[in-house]
Amino acid sequence: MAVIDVKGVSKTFYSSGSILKAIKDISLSVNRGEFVSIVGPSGCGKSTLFNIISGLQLPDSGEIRINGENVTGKKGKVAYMPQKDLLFPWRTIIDNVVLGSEIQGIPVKQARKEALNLMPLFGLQGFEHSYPSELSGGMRQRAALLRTFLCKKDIMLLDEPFGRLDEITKSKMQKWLLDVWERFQTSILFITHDIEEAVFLSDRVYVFSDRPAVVNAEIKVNLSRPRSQDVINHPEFLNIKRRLWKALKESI
Amino acid sequence: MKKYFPSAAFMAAFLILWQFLVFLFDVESWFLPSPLLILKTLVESSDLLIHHTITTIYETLWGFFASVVTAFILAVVMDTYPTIKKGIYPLLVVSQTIPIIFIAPLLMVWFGYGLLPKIFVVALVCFFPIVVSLVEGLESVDPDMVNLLLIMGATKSQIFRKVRFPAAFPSFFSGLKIAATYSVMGAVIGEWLGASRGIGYFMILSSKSFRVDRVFAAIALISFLSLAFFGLIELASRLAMPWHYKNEQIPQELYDDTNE
Ligand SMILES: Nc1ncnc2c1ncn2[C@@H]1O[C@H](COP(=O)(O)OP(=O)(O)OP(=O)(O)O)[C@@H](O)[C@H]1O
Ligand SMILES: [Mg+2]
Repeated sequence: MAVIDVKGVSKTFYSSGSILKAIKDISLSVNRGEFVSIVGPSGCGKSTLFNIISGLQLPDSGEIRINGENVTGKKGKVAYMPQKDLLFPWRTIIDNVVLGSEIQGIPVKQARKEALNLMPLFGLQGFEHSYPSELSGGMRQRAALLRTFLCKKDIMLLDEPFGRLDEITKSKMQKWLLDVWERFQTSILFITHDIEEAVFLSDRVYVFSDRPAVVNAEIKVNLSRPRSQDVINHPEFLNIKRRLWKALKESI
Repeated sequence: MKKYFPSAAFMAAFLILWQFLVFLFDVESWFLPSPLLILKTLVESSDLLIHHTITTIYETLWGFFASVVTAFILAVVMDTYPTIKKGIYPLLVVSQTIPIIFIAPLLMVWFGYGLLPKIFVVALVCFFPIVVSLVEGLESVDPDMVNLLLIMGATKSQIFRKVRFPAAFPSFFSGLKIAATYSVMGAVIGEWLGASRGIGYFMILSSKSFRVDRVFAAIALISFLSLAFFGLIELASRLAMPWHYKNEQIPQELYDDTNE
C-alpha cells in the first residue's frame, strides 16, 4: 500500500507580477518500506513538491495522501530534511540534532544518548558541543541528516542530503542510510542530482522534466539487496543508469 | 583588549594636551580645571561622591530593569498581535521626538521629589532602543527555520521560545547596550531637575558654588559609570550568546565586537 500518494499536484508562484509555473499535475507514490528517488534539472520544482508533501505549502490543485488519509496542508506527518541545513546557530550540535524530540515532547534524554552513539558514524565525534558556525558544510549537512533521523518518523523526505559530501563520506553515509532504512522499515523519498546515487539507493526513480515539472519517466531498479559497492559494475546497474541519462536528457 | 589600545592612546593624548594648555596659559581652575586637579578632586571628595553615586546607581538599575520588563512585554504583545503593532509602533517613534527634559519636570509634579520620577526618566530613555531592537530582532528570524519547526509540528509558543526569541538575541543585546549608555545620563537629568541626593544634585550644588573641578569630577564619574554599565551588558551578552562570538564567517573588520 502507498504510504505517500501524490495525486495530480500543481503549483504556480505569483511573485512581483510574474507568474511561475513550478510543477504541473505531478502524481507519484511511495510504498511502505520503499526507497524512491527523484532526479530532475535544477530549479524544476523538486523542493517545491517536498514543501507541499510536508504541508508547508498548499498545492493549487491535487492532494497529498499519507497512509490513505488526505493530509494536504497538514504538518507534522513526515521527517523532512530541507536542502539548506538550517541548524540553529545558538544551539550546539547535540542540541540541534535532538530538536525533533523536543518539539514532539518526547524526553530528550533518550534522543541525546542515541545521538551521542551515532556521532562517530556521522563523523561528528568531538563536535557534539561545538556550534554550527565551527563546522564545515559537509559536517553541517550530516548533522542535519542526523536531526531528521532523530525525528523518528516512518516517512523521510530527504532533499539532496549528500550534495556537499566527498565521495568517501558520501558512500559511508549512503550505507548508513540504507542500513537505517532496512532496519526501521522507513519509507524514503529522496531528491538527488547524482544519477549513480539514485540507482544505488533506490527501488524506483522518478525523472522530472524541466519547469513546469511533470513526471517524465518512472524507472524501476531491479537490483538485489543488500547492495554492496560492487553493484555499480553490474550490467543491470549500467543499463538503468543509461536509461536514466536518456530520460533526463529528453526532459531538458 | 588590544582593540581598545588606540582609543586609550587618543584619550591619553587629549588629556596631556589639556593639562599642558591649562598650564601654558595659566587658566584659572574655576574657569577650566586641569585633568590632574579633577583627579585630585575625585580622590578628595570620594566620600561625598560615593554617597551621591549610590543613589544614582540605584535609580539607573531600577529604571533599566523596569524598562526591560515593560519593553519585553510590549514587544511580545506587538509581535503576537500585528494590529497592535501597526497601531503602536509609529507612536513609539513619535514619542521619541518629545524632549525628555520637558517631561521630567512634569514627572516631578506627578510623582514628587523622591526616587520614582528619576527611575521613570531612566525607564523612558531606555525604553525605545530596547523595544525597537527586540521587535526587529523577532522579525529578523530566518523564515525557513520557522518552517522547519512547523513541519516538525511545533506550536506557536514553541516557535517563539525555540527560534524567534533566540534569533532576536543579537539585536536585543545591541538595544540593551545603547540603553545602558543612556541610562546613567537619564538618572542624572532627573536629579538635576530636583533632588536631594545623586550625582545630578551634586553637580547643581557644585556649579552654584563655582566648584567647577567638582562638576568635572562628576562628569568623569558619569562617563565611567556609563562605560561600566555598557561593559556589564557586553559581558552578559557574551555569556548569553557564546555562539555569536565564535568563529564568525563575516570578515572581522565588519564586526568590531567579535575580536577577543
Ligand atoms: N516561495 C516561492 N515563491 C516564488 N517562486 C518560488 C518559490 N519557491 C520556489 N520558487 C521557484 O520555483 C522554481 C522551483 O524551485 P525549487 O526550489 O522547487 O527547485 P528545485 O527543483 O528544488 O531546484 P534545485 O535542484 O536547484 O534545488 C524555481 O524557479 C524557484 O525560483
Ligand atoms: Mg531544491
